Amino acid sequence: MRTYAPATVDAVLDELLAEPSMARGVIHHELIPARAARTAPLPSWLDSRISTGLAQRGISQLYTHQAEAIEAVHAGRDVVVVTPTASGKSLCYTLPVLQALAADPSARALFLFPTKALGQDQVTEFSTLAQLSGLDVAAATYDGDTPAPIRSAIRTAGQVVVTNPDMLHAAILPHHTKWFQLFEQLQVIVVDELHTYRGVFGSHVANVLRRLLRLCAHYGSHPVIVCCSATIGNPLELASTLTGRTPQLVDQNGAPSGERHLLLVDPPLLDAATGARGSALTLANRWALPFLRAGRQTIVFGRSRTAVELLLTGLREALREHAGPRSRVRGYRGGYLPTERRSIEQGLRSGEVLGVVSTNALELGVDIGRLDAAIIAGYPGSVAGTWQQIGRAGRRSGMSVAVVIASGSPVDQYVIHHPDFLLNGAPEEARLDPDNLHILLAHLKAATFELPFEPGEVFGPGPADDLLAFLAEEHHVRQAADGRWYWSSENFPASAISLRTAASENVVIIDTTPDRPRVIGEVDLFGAQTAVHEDAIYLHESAQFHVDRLDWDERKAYVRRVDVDHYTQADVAVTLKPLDVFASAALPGGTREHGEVMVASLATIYKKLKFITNENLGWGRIHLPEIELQTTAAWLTLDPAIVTTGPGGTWRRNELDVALVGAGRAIQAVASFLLMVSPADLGLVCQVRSPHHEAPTIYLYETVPGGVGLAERLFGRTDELIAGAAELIAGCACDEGCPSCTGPRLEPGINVRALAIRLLTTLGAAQPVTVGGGVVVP
Amino acid sequence: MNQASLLERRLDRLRLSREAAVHEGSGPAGGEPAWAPLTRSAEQRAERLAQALDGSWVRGPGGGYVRIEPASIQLPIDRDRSAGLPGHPGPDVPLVCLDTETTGLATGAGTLAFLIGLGWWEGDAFRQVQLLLPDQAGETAFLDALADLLPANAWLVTYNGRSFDWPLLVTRFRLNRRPPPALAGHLDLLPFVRRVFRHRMTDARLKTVETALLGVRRGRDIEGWEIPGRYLEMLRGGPIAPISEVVRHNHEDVRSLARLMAHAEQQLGGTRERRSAPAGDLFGLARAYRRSRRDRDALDCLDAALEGPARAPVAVGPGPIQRSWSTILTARADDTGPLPSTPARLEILVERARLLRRLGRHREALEAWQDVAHAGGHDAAIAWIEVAKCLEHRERDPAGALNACAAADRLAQRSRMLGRPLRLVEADLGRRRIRLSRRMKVPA
Repeated sequence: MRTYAPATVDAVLDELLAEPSMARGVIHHELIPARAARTAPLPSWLDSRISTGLAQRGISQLYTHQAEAIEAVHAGRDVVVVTPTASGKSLCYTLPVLQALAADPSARALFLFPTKALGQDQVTEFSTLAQLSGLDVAAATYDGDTPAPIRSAIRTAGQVVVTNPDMLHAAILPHHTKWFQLFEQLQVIVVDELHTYRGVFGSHVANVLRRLLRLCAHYGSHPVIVCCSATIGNPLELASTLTGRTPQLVDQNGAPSGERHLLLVDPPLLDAATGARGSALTLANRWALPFLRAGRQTIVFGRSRTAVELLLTGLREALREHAGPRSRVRGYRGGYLPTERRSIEQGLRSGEVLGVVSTNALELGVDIGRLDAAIIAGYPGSVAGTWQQIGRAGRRSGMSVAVVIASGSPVDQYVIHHPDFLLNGAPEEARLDPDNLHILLAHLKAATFELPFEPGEVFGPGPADDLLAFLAEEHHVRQAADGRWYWSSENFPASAISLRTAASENVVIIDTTPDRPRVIGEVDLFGAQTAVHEDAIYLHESAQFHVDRLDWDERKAYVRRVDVDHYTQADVAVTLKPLDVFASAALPGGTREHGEVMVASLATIYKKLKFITNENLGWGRIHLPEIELQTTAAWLTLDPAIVTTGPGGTWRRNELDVALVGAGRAIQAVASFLLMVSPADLGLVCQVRSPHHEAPTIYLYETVPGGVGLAERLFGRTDELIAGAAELIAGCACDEGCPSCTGPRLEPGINVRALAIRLLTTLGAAQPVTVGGGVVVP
Repeated sequence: MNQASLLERRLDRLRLSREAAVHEGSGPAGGEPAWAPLTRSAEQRAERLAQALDGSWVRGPGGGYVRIEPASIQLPIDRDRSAGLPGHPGPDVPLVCLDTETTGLATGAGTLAFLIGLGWWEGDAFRQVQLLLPDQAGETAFLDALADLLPANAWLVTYNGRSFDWPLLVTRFRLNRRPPPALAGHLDLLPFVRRVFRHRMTDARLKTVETALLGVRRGRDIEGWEIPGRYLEMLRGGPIAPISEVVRHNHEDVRSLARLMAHAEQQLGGTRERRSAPAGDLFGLARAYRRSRRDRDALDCLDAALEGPARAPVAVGPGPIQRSWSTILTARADDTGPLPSTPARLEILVERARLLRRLGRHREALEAWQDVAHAGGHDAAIAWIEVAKCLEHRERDPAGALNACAAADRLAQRSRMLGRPLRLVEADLGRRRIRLSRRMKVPA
C-alpha cells in the first residue's frame, strides 16, 4: 500500500479491504447510493439584481429545500431548515434578507451564531453576495472584538447585525434603547447552528430569545425566525422550545450526493481478561494514510485536543518516512489562531491542503468544501455528531468513504456493535429546559431590567407574576402602583449571568509565570476542586501548569508554567440525598423515581500519574470544603426483599456493591447516548443501603444546578436504560467486566459482568444471551 | 421544604393555571385589579412626599409626579460675557440647568432617573423646579412634564450630562415610546472644569468645585452612592425623610451649576476680569479656546497669564486620605488623583510662541521664541531651532539662523554629554546647518 501515485477513492478502499489485518476489524460496511439533485427555479418575486448576483456565483437554480424555505420566509412564516453539512443552508436566509433589503433599505436583520468565527465568516459571505447583486448593504459583526467607534455606527446604521447569543444577552438587550432602529425594523432573526443550542447553553439562549422577542413586541416589530440545524432527532421540537413559536419544518434535502461507503471498525482485542483493545488513534492513522498518499483529500477527527496533536504527529511521521505529502497535512482545533484556521479552511477548499486532523471544532458550519474521506477516531458521542462528521466526506458526484473507529469505552463499543443504532436509529434529540428555575429567574431579572412586566404578562411557561413576586421578596423587582413590575435594584443583572454555564461562580486561573500575571482560564467550582486544587497539574493548550495556591474564598487559582512527566487525578467523595420526589413508579424488583436531590462532593486525595503509562508516582491530600449542588436526579431502588430472596439467592454485600456500580456504569453510558448528552452531564452515585430508601439505590444526577430536564427524561425511559445496559454488558467481549462495560475492576476475583447482568435482570431486563471471550455478538 | 423546590412547585402551579386560563378565557375576573391597594398606597406616599417637600402632587395617566418649586434666588449672570467663553451658547439662548438622581450608575434600560432638578434664569433671578417620581407608575407623566419644561431652542447645562444624565433620559423616553425632546445645544461643564480649573483641585467632582471655586460649603449633605438605596428603600415602604435630603442635594447641585456658570463668566469672561485670574486657569482656558479654534482668544489668555501677579495656586479638595473608596468608585467625575502640576511660566511662553506663529504674527513669534531660548531649560534647544526657522524663512537672515543653530547645537551637545541625547534635535540641526552653510556661500 505504499503507493504515492494518485489513485481513485475506490481503488484505495479496495486495496485497504484486501489487507486482512484491516478488513478483520470492519464490523459493518454500508453502501449509501448516489442521489441526484432536485432543483427548483429562483422565485419569481426575487429582485433581478439578486438573480444577477447569484448568477455570478454560478447559481441559476435552487435546491428544493432552499426554495421551500425561502418561499416560507418570504411569506412571513418561521422555518427550521434541517439538511446535512454543506447543502447550502445559508442561502435559505441570505436570499430573503437580501430581498427584504432590496425592497426596503430601512429593514433590519439579526444573525445569531454560536461562535464569533462563524459570524465573521457569514458577514464575508453575505457581503460578497450583496456586492455581486449591486446592493449597498451594511452588514457587520457586533462582538467583543468590535472597536468602540464602529459599535455606535452599527447600532444606528447596521442593516444586518451578526452577533452571538452572549453579546445579544449582555451588550444589546440591556441597552436596547440605543438599538431602537434595529428593534423597530427587525424583519428576520436567523438562528444558525440550532443543534448547538441544547443543554444549559440552549436553556439560556431560549431565554435570551424570549427577551429579544419581548423587546421586538415593545417596538412593534414582528420578525420571522429562520433556524438552521444539522441533523438531529427533534429539530422542530428544538426550534419550538428555543423560540417559543411553531416553525415550518424543511428537511427534504435537494442537494445531490455521490456514492458513499460507511465502515464501522473495531480495534483488535488485545487481552480478553482486561478487555484491553488496540488504540483507535493508531488505527485511524492506518486508515487515513493510504488516502493521503493517493492524493485524496481526507479529514481525521479526534475527540480531544490531545488526540488531534497525537494523530497529526503520527501522520506526519509516517508521511515523512515514506516521503509523502507531509506539509499538506494540517491540524485544526480550538486554540489555533483564527487567521491560521482561515488559511486551513481556504486551503481545503482550494485543494492546497490535502489532509486535516480536527476536533469537532470543524463540526460546526465552517465551510471547507467536501472531501474524499473522513476517518473518525472514536465515536463522537452522538449519532447526530457522527453524521455531521461523516458528512464532511462526500462529493456532489463521485465516491467517498467514511470510517468510524471505536475506542474501548462502553459507549463506543455499544455503538460499533449495533450498526443499526448509527444507520437506522433516529438521531438523538436535543434537549433543553428553558424553564429551569435558576435559569428562568436569572433571565426574568434581566428581562425586567430591560422592560417592566405588565401584570399577567407571560414569560416562558406562564404569567410571570408569581416568579416576580418571589424576586420582589428579594428586592430585585417591585410591583408599582400601575400593577407593572419594575426593576428596582442598583445592580446590572445581565452581568451576573454567563450563558455557557448554569453556575455563575467560577474560579479564575492566573498564570504567575510572566512578569505581569495574566488570567488564562476559568473553571466552575465543581471542576475547580479536581482541576486546580493545590499541587495539581493543570493542562491548558497542551502546556502544563502547577497550581501553587488556590484561594478558595477569592475564587482564584495561582499557577506556574512547569514541564513535568506526569499529570494529576483527583478523587472525589460524592454523597447524595433526595429532597423531594416529583414522580414515582413501580419497576420489576423495585421502584423508579425522579426528583430534587442535594449532591455533596468533597475532593479527598489526588494521584500523580505518569503520562502514557499511567504509572502511579505518588499521592497527596486535598484540603477543600465540601461543595453542595442542588439538582435533579433519577434513581432506581431495589426492593430490599430481593436482596435476600430474589432470583439467584441471597446477595452477598460485596457482590451487591460491585453489581450496583457495574450496572450503574453501564446505565450511565446508555443514558448519555439515549439523551444525546455528554457523559459529564450525568453523575453516578450507587448506595448499597441508601439512608433515604434503606435499600440499594442507583442515582443518576444532573451535574448542572437545578438540572435541565434530563432526570425527568431518564425516569420516562427507565426500561430502555435497563435493557440497554444489560445488552451493553452482555455484548462486551471481555470475560468478567472491563472499562468498556462495567467500568474499571474494583475487586479482583469477582465476576462483575455476571453480577451486573443478574442485577439488571432482577430489574426487568430480558435474560440476555451473554457472549464472552473475545467473540463479538453477530 | 427549601426555597428552590418550593418554587418548582409554584412553577407547576403556574403551568396548571395557564392551562386553566386557556380553557376559561384569560383576563382577571372583573372588579378592581389585584394591585389596587398598591395604587392607593402609592397615592398616599405621593401625597405625603408632596407635603413633606412642600411640593404639589400632579396626577397623570397611570400615576403622577411631585413638583417642587422653592423660592427663586438672585443669581445675576452677564450672558454677554458668558457667551465669549469657549463652548458656551450665545447671549440670547435660553439655558436650562439639569441634574438627575438615578437608581444606579449602569446606563442600561433598567436604570431609572427618579428626580430631575431643573433651573433657569428669569432676569437676575434663578428659578428652580424639581420633578420627583413617587412611584415608577408615574414615569410617563413625569417625562412629559420634563419635556414641557425644555424649550425647543434651549441649551442644556449639565455636569457630565453628555455621557450620563442626558443619554439616560433619552433611554427613559424611548422606553416609554416617546420621542426624546430635541435640544438646541448642550453645555457640559465637566470638560470645561477639567481643562480650566482641574489643575488646582484634587478632583473634578461638583462638590470639590463648590469648595474650591465657588466658596460654598454645604451643611449636611449625602454621598452620591447613598442615593439609589434611599429611593429604592422608600419605594418599598421605607421612610420619606431620607428622600428630602436627596431632594436638597439635587437642588444644591443644580444651583451650583448656575453658580459655576456665573463664576466662570465673572472670573474669565472678559479681558479685564482675566487680569486677576490664576495663570493656571488662563493657561487651561487658552487650551479650551484652542480646541474651539479661537486662537486670538487663546493668545489673550496667555498674555493675561504672563502679565498677571505670580500667585501659587492652592490645591483645594477633600484630599486623598479623607476620600473613601465608595466615594471614589461612585464619583461621576472620576478623575480623582494627584494634582496635575501648574504650568511653569516657560510652558506658557512656548504655547504663546506657537500661537503667534499659527496666527501668522511672525515677528512677535520670533521674539517669543527668543525669550524661550534665552530662558534656557528643557525647551531651549527647540526654541533655538524655531528662531533659526524664523530668521531663515521670514527675516531672510541666514547668518543669524546659523548662529541660532550653533546655540541649539551647544545645548544638544551638553545634553548628549549628560547622557540624554536629543536625537530629533540633532538630526534636524544636521540638515539645517548644511543647507544654511550652502546658502551662505552663494553670493547674494
